[in-house]
Amino acid sequence: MWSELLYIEIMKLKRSFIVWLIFVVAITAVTLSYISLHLNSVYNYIPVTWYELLKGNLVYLNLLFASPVFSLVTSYIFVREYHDHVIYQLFSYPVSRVKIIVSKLLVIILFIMVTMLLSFLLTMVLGSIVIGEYQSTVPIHGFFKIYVYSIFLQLSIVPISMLLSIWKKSIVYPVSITVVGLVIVFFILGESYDSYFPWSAPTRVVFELIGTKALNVDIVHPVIMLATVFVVTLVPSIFLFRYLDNFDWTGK
Amino acid sequence: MDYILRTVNLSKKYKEKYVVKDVSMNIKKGDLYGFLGKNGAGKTTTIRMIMNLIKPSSGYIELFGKEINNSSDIPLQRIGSIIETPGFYLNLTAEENLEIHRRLMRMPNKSSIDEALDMVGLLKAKKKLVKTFSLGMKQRLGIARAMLHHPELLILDEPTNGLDPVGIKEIRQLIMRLRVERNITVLISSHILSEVEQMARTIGIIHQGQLIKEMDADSIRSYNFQYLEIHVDNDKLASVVIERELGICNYKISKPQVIRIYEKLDQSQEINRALINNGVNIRQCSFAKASLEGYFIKLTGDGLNVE
Repeated sequence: MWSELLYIEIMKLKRSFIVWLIFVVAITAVTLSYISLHLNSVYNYIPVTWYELLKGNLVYLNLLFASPVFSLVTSYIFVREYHDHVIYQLFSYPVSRVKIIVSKLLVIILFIMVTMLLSFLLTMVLGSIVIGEYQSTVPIHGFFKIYVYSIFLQLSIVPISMLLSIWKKSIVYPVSITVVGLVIVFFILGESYDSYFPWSAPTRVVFELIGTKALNVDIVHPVIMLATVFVVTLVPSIFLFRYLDNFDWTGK
Repeated sequence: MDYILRTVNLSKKYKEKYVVKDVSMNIKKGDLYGFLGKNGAGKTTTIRMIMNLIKPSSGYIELFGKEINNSSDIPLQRIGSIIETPGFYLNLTAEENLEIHRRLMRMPNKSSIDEALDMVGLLKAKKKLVKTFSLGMKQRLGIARAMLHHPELLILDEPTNGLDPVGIKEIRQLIMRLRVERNITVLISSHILSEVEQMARTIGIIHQGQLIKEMDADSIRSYNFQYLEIHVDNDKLASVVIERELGICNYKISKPQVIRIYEKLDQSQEINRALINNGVNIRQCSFAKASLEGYFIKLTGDGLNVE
């Protein structure tokens, strides 16, 4: 049943612009990472290295692209069913609403996973072309692990967009909140309390992992923070998805 | 009596306001039940409760003879529905939309998609994206989807909303044909009185959240009859003449100086002559038709959309 539900959720995205975002994000992040390093090599004579290329890609992904794009994808997946009046049809199937929301979450996980891994793959291809053989103090599998951790880090803030999408039945609210969150990140990143802000915590963890070149660093606080955000926003999302229509939220 | 669907004192309250109050509907097997009411009367809320999209504040629902106590009790595979606007994934084709429905309804046979599309005349358009469909095509596709899994009960909420007269006629004929061919029970809600009047075998009239009347086809027909309306100067004298001289009992003084005669309508000339000969002055005399609309207005004190 789960594979069937997942297949159906993927099928719904057929011919959708959302799918192209995977490629746009993956390509843009690696391109920006390379361009900035290339300009640095031209003007400051600092050579492009594997470490800087992979690090730059991770930073662009986590800091700039991941949260707004995944917020857009999340809200699109949820809101369009309200917008296109498919939601009541969906609820009239012999499938529980919890299963429906979990299958949507699985598609979002898949989306994040493909984006992150495609970006990693593209970075490897680009690095092989412009730099050559892999040489870095951080082994490839070390970077690969950080990409995998990034999937979970980004996933942890997805329910914020889920909650707002289901509650407000609009893409505007979750995307706006995410953009505002990102603007705030630029002001607070590097401060001691940035670990406690949902949109800076993933980048904070990634910075820690890259900077220390190891996993045994103090990333406990942001991880606990993100896990809390995930649970605290996912539970009401499920509740609202199940019962929202029973309440007179609009006052009508 | 073999009922497919019954609601017993079904109510829905938002904050302190009742949107639906004590609605008790009785839909017999094989019936085509017209659920008639103005916009905002409570039709969609009632249907949403039947489909378990919202929970009733009080009362209960019986489907296929069983009381529904929680969502898992609802035999959704035995029900086909269009709730409000028929919604589709616009980026998918008609066939792909029905494929999603087929899978979620756990229908093993893929050929059921073509059958359903053929039934509503959309087989040739199965590879077309739904976003290119007209509203009429979407309504037909909605009916195909609702019928794909061979339901016993079809619930259609305003299926002709937004359609032109030709589209309305098409959908009406389709629903009537399907009911006979597939031997299904249909609950159709509408605010268009003429539409319900032409199709339904039973009509439930909902007004301000309350089911104020439920009547069968015979009763409906009794509200569609001709009568002779005569405007006179002396209604008392006229009634004496009508009763004693003409022997007519089925008449009434509808308002002062206006008499409605419901029998012996083929003798209108004799009626007129008798009244004049007995000193009753006739100001106006004409045939009129009583209708369900008139009845509805009488019940609700308000009109409906007669399209």
